[in-house]
Amino acid sequence: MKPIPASLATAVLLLAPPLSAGARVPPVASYRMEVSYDATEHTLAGKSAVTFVNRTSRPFPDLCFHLYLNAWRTDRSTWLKESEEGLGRGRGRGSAAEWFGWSSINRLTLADGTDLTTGLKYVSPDDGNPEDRTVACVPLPRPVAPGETLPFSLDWAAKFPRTVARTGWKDDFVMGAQWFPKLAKATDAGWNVHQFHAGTEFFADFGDYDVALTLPKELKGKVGASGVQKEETDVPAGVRVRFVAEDVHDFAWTASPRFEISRETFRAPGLPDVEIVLLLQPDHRRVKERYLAATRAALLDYGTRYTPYPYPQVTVVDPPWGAASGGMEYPTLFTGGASWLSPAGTGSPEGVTVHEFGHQIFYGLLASNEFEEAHLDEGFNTYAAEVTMGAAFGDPPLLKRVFGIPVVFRGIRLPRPEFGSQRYLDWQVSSRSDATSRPSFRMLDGAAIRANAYSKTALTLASAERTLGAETFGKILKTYATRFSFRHPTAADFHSVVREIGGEDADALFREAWDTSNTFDYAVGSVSTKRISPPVGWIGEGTAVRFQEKESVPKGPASYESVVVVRRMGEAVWPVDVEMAFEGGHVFRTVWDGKDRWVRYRATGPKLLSARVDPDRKLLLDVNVLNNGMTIEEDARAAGQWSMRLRFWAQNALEFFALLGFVGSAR
Amino acid sequence: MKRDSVPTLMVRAFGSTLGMWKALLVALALNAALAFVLVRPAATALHETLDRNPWAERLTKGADPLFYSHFTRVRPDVLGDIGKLEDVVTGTTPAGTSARLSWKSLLPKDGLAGSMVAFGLLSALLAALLSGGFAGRFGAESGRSSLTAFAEDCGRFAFPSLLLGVLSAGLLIAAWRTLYVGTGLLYDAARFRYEWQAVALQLLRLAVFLLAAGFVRVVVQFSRAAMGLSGSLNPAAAVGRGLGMAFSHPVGTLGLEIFFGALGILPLALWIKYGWTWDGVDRGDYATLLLLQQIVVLARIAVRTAYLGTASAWLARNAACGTPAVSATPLPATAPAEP
Repeated sequence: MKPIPASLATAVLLLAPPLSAGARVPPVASYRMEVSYDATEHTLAGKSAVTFVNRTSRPFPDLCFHLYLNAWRTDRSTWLKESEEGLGRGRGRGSAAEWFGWSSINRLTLADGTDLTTGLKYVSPDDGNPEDRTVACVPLPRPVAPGETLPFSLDWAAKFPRTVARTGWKDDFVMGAQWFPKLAKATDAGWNVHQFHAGTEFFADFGDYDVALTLPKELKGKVGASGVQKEETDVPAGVRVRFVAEDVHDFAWTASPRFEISRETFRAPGLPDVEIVLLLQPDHRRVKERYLAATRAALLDYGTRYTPYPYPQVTVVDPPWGAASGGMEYPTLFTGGASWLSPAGTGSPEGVTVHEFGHQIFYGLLASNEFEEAHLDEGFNTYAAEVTMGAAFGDPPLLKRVFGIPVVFRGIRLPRPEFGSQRYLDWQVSSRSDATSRPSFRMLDGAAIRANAYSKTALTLASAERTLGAETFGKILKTYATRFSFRHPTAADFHSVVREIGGEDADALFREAWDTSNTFDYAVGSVSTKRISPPVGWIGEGTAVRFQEKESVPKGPASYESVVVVRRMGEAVWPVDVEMAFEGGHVFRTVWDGKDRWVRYRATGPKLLSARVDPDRKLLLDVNVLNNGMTIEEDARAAGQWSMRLRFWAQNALEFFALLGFVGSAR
Repeated sequence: MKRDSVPTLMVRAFGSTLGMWKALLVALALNAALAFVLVRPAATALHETLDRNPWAERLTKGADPLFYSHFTRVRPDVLGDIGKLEDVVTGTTPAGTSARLSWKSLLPKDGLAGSMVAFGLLSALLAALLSGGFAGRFGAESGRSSLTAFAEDCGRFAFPSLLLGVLSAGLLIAAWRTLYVGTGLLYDAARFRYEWQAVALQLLRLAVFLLAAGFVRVVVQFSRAAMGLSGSLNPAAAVGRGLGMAFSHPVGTLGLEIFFGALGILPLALWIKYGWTWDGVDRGDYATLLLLQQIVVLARIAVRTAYLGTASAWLARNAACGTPAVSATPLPATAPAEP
């Protein structure tokens, strides 16, 4: 496919009226783009008219751009090096040319025609890697003053790799994500710009996007993108589609001739109507309604609990098998992921759909810095998605794939949110290398990134909800989401909301969890109960003093002295409930602030039966719940029962092995 | 002379197998003893963890994935890397290059999972040893219930039986490693256009492995039967007979393999369906449960023994009817007499 002539496209772009600001937020970085895609070579040729409005308090002497596709330019890039070192989560890549991509700015001119191209320099602010080309900066003839608008244009070209990190192509499917030269985030401290790392995501300013894509004609009617489609016209080179997205901080698109597109309108009292556009693979027709139901559930639940989804449309993309594009969010568009065989009730594709929709709030609207504080998006959304999934679809059953065929164990339910966050607990026991508040790209490895950004944050929020109460916690999250929509909140902003609504003690919970990698582990150290006997020894006064011997059988009603020791085995502190159960159904409960290393409780009265710390499982961060309780009496039945089951299965397993030698038939 | 049909031979083989009930009980006892020793550390750990723990009450009501996840995390030494065993059972193969095909990457080392591999191999050796006894007794015309004769046959055929066992185990493991796991490394499933293509290919790899494994099992099974019938201690000659049967009756012998394979799974399937949720908490229940569990395992041992009996009877029938034998090894006119 031939690209549109550069001179013509530049003229069209620069003569076009200035981009209008969206209704919700003053734009900072807006893009009008004319791009053609060669589906054979997987290359892009683009012209961007960019309008940068300096809404910070400081002048900007330069411009900095992300060229994300250069993460796969050579194997010396920071992304690929980190990925090889285990910091990412990408699956195996080959070394053939198809796995590599690139992005370059061919010309950068200001509105007055000043050509800045030669001043472009690649920089590596995070690791100094001279071979990384994911960030480029160029000095300006004069700084952009606060409040000033700087229009400029870019001629650029790029090549998609075979899909990696949810961008690129697979067969006739293409996912255009992190695909165009994009301005870094302007802040009062200057450009907040980071290289593309294997374990981190993105940060950008809000703006308005008006993007025209020229694609092969077989993709006509088979395109999805951020925003809303405004035009689709046949052109000599194929089909030209134009999408407009306002008040967003990124733009993604996808196309495949195999997409089956369906639409429906979400309507709910008190929430704005939203058009749901589903781009489905033909072999996933059976899960169409499940995708839509999950999206509806997420629109309703997130809209009610946090803040309504404010855009007129959301596009749900079902990527094809093997495309490595599933489960990712972009403004007003996200990718799900379904299996050819997805048994009902197993939470797939519902789980990924709800989760990725949820990013529309925590990533799309709040738009925190995912390089430096990834947990504010991933962790908050993991928590929120679990809440929505629990409310809408319940706990999923255990599912295993046996030789590719799903086998569902419906009798075994995996409780939310605990079970989905096991990897944090595993990591906490095996590594605990980093605190959550550390920037992801500075963490030890991919396990640390995932455990902190996702599971630990989600478990912290769920634990806080159970400790502070659902009402208080709900108010905290709703205030945070509504107050900071479109404002790029930091962790400090969240802490300020927590202090405002829950007080300093509430905030201390989050600081304890996120500012250290300390372990939470409370345990019942010991329990004892003994019948109170009359004192042995000299009793009475003066001449009435006498020696009382020990009674072999105490007389009178039985009364017991019970002692319970509760211990803090980990370094981290969290207030916990302590429960003691006595004969006769008596239960005593108290709250321990959990600060000392141990506390001893004494009780007199009925016989103690058992003691438990955190009996309601409020502290989901506790790495070992098996030491959370102790009984007075020994009861070997459960262990005996499970040992017997184990022995039986061991016998059968040995029978399987026997066939190796016997060559009998008992398989 | 009228030839008995294979189903008739199977029925007779089951009858003969039941006649060897004492030997079957020995096999069960050995299996149970191995399982007891194998599970002992895990059972001890469970008692240490649960006997004075409120979790115990939850666990008497059924499986609890939360307990399982915490237990495996807190006591990783007890069960070991169950994931690797699970990979074998679910057919999950390592992605990437053939460098991932090492035993280290495929098999667990620690805990119950690691011990399972060692005990499993021991079980395979014991089974090979006992199969000599069973083959000998099937080859005998009388004295099938004699434990002494069974033990003598175990001893008499010990070397060739073990050799056949090693051959069988080696071939089956090699077939799994190359035909299933190894072929999985030859392609990138993600490159297929549709997932069903990847699943279909995975199932095809499984089918190829099962076919090869079935062939190996048929050959070794008939080899062992031939050994029992002839009394010959020459494993090469026996394997020749086995190969002869497998090639001359490919459908029939593989059908027998499939039939007994399904029959062997049946007791376990019934248990999973009906016996799994029985808690066995009360002492009376516990005893009944234990008895039923042993009946399930015994039934499985009996089925694989009956398979050998059928193979033996089939070979004997062919010899009696004058069906040309592929091997030159002559069958004896009379089977060894009961001591």
